[in-house]
Amino acid sequence: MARALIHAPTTARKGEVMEIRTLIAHPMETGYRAGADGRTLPRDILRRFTCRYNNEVVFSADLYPAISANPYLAFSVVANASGTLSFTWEGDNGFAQTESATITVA
Amino acid sequence: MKVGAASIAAALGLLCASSVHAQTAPDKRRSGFDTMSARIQAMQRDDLQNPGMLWVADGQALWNRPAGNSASCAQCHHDARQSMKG
Repeated sequence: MARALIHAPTTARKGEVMEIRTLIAHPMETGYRAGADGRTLPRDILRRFTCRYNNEVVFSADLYPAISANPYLAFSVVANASGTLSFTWEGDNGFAQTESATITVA
Repeated sequence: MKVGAASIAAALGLLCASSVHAQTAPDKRRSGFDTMSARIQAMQRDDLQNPGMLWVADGQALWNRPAGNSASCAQCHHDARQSMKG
């Protein structure tokens, strides 16, 4: 389980634009770097990030080796209904992690 | 030889003077923060963007985790957000 930090508001007014910021610990090994022994280290990156708002995908991103380690993603979501925001990261070597945050919409 | 001795004495005098000056000179070392661009400085200042905060969160988890059979840090030192004093 990689450490992930999520900043999302806990309450919002209906129709308000929420800014969500996520940061996850991941080495994002490009597959081109050489290790101490001279051999290239294998690729190990995050491939996809998805944000679901009450099980509906509101934001997704494809990540590539150009993204540096510990990817930081910030995006906006319009607050419509109270519920759960879930954030899923999928990557190489079967990496999959989901974090969630609850939001109350007035 | 006289010229040689005089020049050596002068050099020694200069050396002594410069060493005395070095003892009272201000510390010229600078933090790497000064060489960063404004964008990177802003990233480092923002707790939500600074990747170091991921390891701070790790530390928070370690503070609350029992170490083997013994107690966790939190049991004697309580909530680290207030004070780490035991």
